Amino acid sequence: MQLTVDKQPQATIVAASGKLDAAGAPELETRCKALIQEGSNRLLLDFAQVEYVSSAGLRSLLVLAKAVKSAGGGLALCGLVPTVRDVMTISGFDNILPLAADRAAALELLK
Amino acid sequence: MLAWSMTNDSADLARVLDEVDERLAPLPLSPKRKYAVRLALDELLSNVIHHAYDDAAVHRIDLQLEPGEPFFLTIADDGKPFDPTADAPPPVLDGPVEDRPIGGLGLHLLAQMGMRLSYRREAGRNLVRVDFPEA
Repeated sequence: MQLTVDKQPQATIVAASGKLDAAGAPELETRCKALIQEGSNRLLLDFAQVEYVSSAGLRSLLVLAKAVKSAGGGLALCGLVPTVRDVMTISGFDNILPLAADRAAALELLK
Repeated sequence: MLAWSMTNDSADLARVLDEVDERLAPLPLSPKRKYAVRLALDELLSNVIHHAYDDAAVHRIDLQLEPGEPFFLTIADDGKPFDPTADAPPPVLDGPVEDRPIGGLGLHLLAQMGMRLSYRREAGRNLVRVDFPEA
């Protein structure tokens, strides 16, 4: 999993690439938790380059959603490919994590 | 019928999942079905690796994939008896974020994606078959 961080005034954008599975999920979780500790409590995860999410990945997203919430912020995802979007809706995660088409729409959700 | 063997080790699981992807790549399968195959193997084999064995020994796990019609795969392991169609805890998805428990999602995902699991215990091995929904 490759992660690129871009700190913007409205939110910290984390662009992820690769597979959010048992190997990739801890990488995303550790990086984002560090960002939250540094004060980034509004996180935008750009998943345009994420090709696969397993239950291990969903678990990490849930952990991060809880962490930003207790830090008084929010978490949104954008750019999901159709197969990944299916997994998010089938698992009911679209009810707890806002899914946006692109970064601009996601930033609106985090306002 | 395609077949692979692996050991109860996460690194070996990663190797096999990539090999399966490579074998399926040239086949005329939808992205959804390729995703489903990886997810089924990932979830079920991760369960076997992390929960089926009480010892530190190396165990062999056998996989077979029938990429025709019906399209199905089987997993055989010599771990503790575990029936994924009966013994899995139901996931809790309702309620606010902070109240949701973490975990228990993998088998739920497979069921929600339309995969049908069947199980039998035979000669000291767990045999799990996964039938995939129509492409």
